Amino acid sequence: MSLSVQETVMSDLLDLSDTPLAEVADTVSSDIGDIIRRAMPLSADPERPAVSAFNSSI
Amino acid sequence: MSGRVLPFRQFVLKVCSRCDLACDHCYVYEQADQSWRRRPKVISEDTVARAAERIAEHAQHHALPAVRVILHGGEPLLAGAARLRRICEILRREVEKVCPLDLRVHTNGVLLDDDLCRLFVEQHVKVGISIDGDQAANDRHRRYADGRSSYDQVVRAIGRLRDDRYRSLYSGLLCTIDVRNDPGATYGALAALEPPSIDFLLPHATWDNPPPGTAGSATPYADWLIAIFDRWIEDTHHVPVRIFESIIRTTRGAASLTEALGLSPSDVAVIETDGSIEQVDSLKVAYEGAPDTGFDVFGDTLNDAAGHPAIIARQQGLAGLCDTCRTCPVVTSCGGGLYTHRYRAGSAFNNPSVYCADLMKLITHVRGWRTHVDARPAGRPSAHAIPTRYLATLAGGYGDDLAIEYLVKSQRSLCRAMLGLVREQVRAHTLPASDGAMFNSGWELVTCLDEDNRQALDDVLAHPYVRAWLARCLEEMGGSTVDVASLAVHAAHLAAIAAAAAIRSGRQVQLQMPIREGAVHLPTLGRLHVGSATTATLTVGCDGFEVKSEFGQWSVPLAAVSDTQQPENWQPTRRLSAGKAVVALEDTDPYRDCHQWPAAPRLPAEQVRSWQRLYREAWTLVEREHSAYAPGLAAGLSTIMPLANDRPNREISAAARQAFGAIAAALPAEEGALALLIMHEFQHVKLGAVLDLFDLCDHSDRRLFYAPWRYDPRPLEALLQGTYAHIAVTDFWRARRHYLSGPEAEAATAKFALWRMQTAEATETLATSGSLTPLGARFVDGMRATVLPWLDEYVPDSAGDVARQWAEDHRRNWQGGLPR
Repeated sequence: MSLSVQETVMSDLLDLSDTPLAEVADTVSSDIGDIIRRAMPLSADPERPAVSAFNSSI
Repeated sequence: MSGRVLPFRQFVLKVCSRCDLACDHCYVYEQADQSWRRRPKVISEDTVARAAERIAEHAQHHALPAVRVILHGGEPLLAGAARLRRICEILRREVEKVCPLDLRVHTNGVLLDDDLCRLFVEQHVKVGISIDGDQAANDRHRRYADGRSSYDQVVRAIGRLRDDRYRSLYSGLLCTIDVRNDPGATYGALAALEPPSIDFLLPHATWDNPPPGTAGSATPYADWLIAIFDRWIEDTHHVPVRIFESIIRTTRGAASLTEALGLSPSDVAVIETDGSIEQVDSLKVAYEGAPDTGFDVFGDTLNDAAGHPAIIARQQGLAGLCDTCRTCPVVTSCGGGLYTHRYRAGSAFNNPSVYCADLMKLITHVRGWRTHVDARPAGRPSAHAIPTRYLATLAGGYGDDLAIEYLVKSQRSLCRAMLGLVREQVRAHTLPASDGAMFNSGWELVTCLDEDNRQALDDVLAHPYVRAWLARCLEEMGGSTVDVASLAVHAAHLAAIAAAAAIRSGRQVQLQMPIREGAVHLPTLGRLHVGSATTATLTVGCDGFEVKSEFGQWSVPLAAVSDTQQPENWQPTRRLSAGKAVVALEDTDPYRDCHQWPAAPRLPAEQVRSWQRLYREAWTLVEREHSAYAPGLAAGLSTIMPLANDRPNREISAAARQAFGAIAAALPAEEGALALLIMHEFQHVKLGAVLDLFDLCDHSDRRLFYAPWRYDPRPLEALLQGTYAHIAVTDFWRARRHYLSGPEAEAATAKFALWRMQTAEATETLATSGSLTPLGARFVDGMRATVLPWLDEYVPDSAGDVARQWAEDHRRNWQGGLPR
C-alpha cells in the first residue's frame, strides 16, 4: 500500500478486469499467499473474524 | 414475431425534441433527417407510461438482468423539473417491477441548476454533459441561435456535478471532435473537469457527406486522437476514455464499450416524443427517414422492433460487413466503424466507414502500444486504487455509490483471482471423472463467456455466494491433506455458475450439471428440483433452458426465469424492491449457509410478502432518516439471505467476509429493526471489502480488547469491525429519536447516548492500540471525526444517566467474564 501524489491509495490487489480469465491464474500465481490472506482471513488465522453478528437486545 | 431476436438493453427516450442551443454540428437538426419538425415538442405522460410498459415487457420477456434508459433530446432539461420527475417516477414504477433500471440523462448542461440536481439525486439519474474542450473549442459550435457562447453555463453545470452534493450524478463528458482544436488542450481542458469518463465522438458523416477537415491530411482524426492517446497513456491515473478503452478491449477479444467500434450487436432502441420506436438517431445524417422502423410503443412491442431488418443488420457482426472490412486485419476492433458512417447512396451501408483510414491508423497505433506493454516484464495489470476522498467517506462510516463502486470493482478482481487459483489447484488433483468433467466444461464455458459476454459472467461472479463457493473450494485445498471426494463435489459447482451465465447471456450450450439436495442450482436465477439423481443435462436454448435427468425432463421458458408464473419444480430467485433499491431474497443458493446463523429453507409465499412489505417500509425509513447511507446501500447491497430463527422474539443478523453484497437476517418484527440491521450489517460488508484491499491492523498483534457491545474480548480487527458497525447504530438512533415521540423517543435518545459513548470509547481504544497500520490510523481518524462531534450533541440528563448505567452494567458483567 502506498499513497501517491495524486492522492490515491494503492492496494496490492491487482486489477484483473482487463486480464482474460484464462490468463488470471498465471498472473496471480505469485500472489497466492496474499490472495488467500485477503480473501479467507478465517483460514489464515482462526482468531480473526469471518462473520459478524448483531443482537439488538444488547 | 416468430424466431429469436436479440434484446434491446439500452433505450434512448426522447423527452424533448427541441433544443435551446443551435450547435451547427448537431445531427438532430442540421442533417438530412428533419423528422423533429413533425414530433411533439415534449413527450406526453401517456407516451412515457406506454414506453415504460413496453420496456418492462421487453425486459421480462428476455429476463434481462437490468436495462438502461437515457433521457435525451433535443435538450431533455427543457422538459422542466416537474415533467422530468414524473418521467423518472413512471419509468421506475414500471421497469423496476421487472429488473433494476439504470437511469441517465444526457444534456448540454446550460439549464442544470440545483433544483434539477436535487431531483436527479432523489431519482438516481446519472448526468452526462456535452462539451467540446476549452472555451475556444466549445465556442466553435456550441452556441445559442443568436451566436452567444454557452461555455460558461456548461462549465457551471459541470461544477455542480463536481460538488460533493452531486458528485454521484456525474457520469462523464462527451466531446465531438473538431480537428482544428488543439488535441492536447482539448484533452487537458476535459480532464481538468474531473469527469468519470470522456467520450470522443467522430463527427457524424457519410461518404456522401464527408467529415470536415480532411483537406490537409489523409488521416486527420487518427492524428488528432493519437496525440491524445500518447498523452493519455502517460497519465498515471488517467480518466477512462471510451474509444481508447474499446480498442484495447477488442484487441484482446473482449467487447467494445461503444457501438462505434467492435463487432458486438447493437442493443439500442430510440423512443421518440411521439412514441415512435427508431434506430440510433445518428442515422439521421444518412437520409430522410433513415432511423424509422414504422413501429411505435402504442401498437407494437419492442420485440417487434428488434425483429426489424435494419436493426438485425446491425447485429450480424462480421457477416454484416462489406468484403473489404471482412478481410481487414483490424476488423475485430473496428467492426466496420459506426453503421451510419458507412452510408453511401447506391450501396447504402455496404461500405467501409468513411473514417476507414483514420480507424486503421488509430487502431494500429494502439495495438502497437499494447504489444509493447505486453512484452515488458513489468506488464502486469495495475493495482486497485481508491481516491483518498472516497476512502475518507468510507472511513467516516458512509460512502456513496461512487465509493462503493470502487469496492465492487475490487471484489470483481478478487473473485477472478480466486477462480483462477481454484482452476490451478483443481488441475493439480485427480478428481472423479464426472465431477472433473463438469468442472472442466464449466471452466471452458466461463472463459468463452469472459471473452464474448463479460457482463453476463460478471453478474454471476458478483453473486455473494459465488465468492463463498470459491472460498470453500480453496479451504478444501488449503489443508495438509485434501479430501478429493469433497473437493470434487464443490468443484463441479462451476458448471452451475457457467450455466447461469450462459442463460443470462443467451448463449446456446449444453452441459452436465451437478445435482445437490435434489436440485440443479443456477446462481442468481434459482433452482430446479429434479429428484435424487447425481447429474443432469442442461440445455440452454433460444427461449429458455431444459434439464433432463434419469427421473424426467423439465423445460423452463426464459421469461419464467424472472416470472411469477413458475413452471412446476422451478424456484426462481425472488426480489425485494423499494424504488431504486432492489435486492435478491436468496433462499436457494447451496453456498448461502456461510453466516453465523443457519440459513432458512425456501420461504413460503406469505413470508416473502412479509419480507417485501417490511423491506419497503425499512427502505423508506432509511431514505427519510439516513439519506447519507442510502446511495451506498443502493449501490452495494445486492442480497438479503433469510436466516432460520428458533426463537421468534430474537433479532439475528449477520454479514460474512466471503459474501460481499449480502446480509443475512431473520425477519424482524418492525421496519425500524430491519432498517437498523441493514445499516449495521452493511457497515461490515463495506469494511470487509476495504480490508480485502488494505491492511489496516497489524495482524501479529494477538491481544484481545474490550468491545462495549460484547461480553467476550475481541481481536483488534474484530473491534475495528464492531466499532465501524456501531457508527451506523449510533447514527441510526441519533436520527430516529427525532421521528419518535413519548417513551419511544426517550428510549431512542438513551440508545443514542449509550452508543455514542461506547463507540467513541472503542474508537479511542483502536486509535491508541499501537497496532494500526499508517493507513489504519488514518482510517480510524476518519471514524473519530464522525463520532466525536456527536458527544457534544444535547441529550437530556435522564437519557445520559440511563446510558451511563447501561455502560457500567456492561463493563461490570464483562469483567465478570459472563458468557454472552
